[in-house]
Amino acid sequence: MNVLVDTPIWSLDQNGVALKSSTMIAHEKGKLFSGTDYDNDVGPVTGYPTSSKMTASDGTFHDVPLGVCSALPISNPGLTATQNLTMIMPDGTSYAVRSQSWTVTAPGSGSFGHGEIKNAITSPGSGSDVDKTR
Amino acid sequence: MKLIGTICCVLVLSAIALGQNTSPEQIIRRSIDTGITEGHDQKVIGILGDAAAVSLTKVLGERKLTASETDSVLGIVTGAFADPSMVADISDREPKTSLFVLQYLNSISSDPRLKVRIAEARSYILGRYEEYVRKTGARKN
Repeated sequence: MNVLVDTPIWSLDQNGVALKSSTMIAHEKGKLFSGTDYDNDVGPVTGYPTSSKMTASDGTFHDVPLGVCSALPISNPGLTATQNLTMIMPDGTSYAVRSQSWTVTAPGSGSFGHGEIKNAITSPGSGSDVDKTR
Repeated sequence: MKLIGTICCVLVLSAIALGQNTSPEQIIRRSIDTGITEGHDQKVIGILGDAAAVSLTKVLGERKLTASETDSVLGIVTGAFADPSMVADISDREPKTSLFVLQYLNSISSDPRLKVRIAEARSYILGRYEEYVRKTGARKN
């Protein structure tokens, strides 16, 4: 199975207003689908032109590639990763943007070349706003 | 001054590497052992260039590769050359050990489809390197 997505993310302040600045660095920390800890900037990632070190002028950034490629099906309940996104300002201070978990599933032999990835927001608020199937 | 610049560059790159909790060898080993590649892996593999192939040789040793494992190796080698200009160590921007690994894989493979994928991987990394040389004027060694 193979499901990788390019997730555009808008940076909002505590009042939900977009932070329109190209001088911020998106940082992420959490556990990978493999269970390994990670702590690094979201971008840039080689081979992915939408990825960048700094945010765009409208404050957005892309988290790419996000997901899993597996030679074998991924049975339910699937693989789960956690992600805590922060924004590092030019003066070094950082602000929490979002915390969420990601779940990837691709059960059964019919899943080759296919899969589903969805998120579960844990902060701020709850719910899900990404659910992609391939 | 040039030496100080080089030392600073090495220190910064080392700091970046230390910021990552998973070593390239760990990622390569996991990818080959489990057949699972995470999107996040490219953040580590993508800046390795030829060093990825060196790590591969350490992980593989005398291991007899299956077709699936060979595909994982091809994914690592090509991922490491997605953009040679972003490879951390300049000396690793040119594929050398990578070509050796691909040549080895080709020599042990009897599956025509696998040989095609190996040839495609070779063509891809050479193409990416040629493009890097053309854009930057970097000299081939």
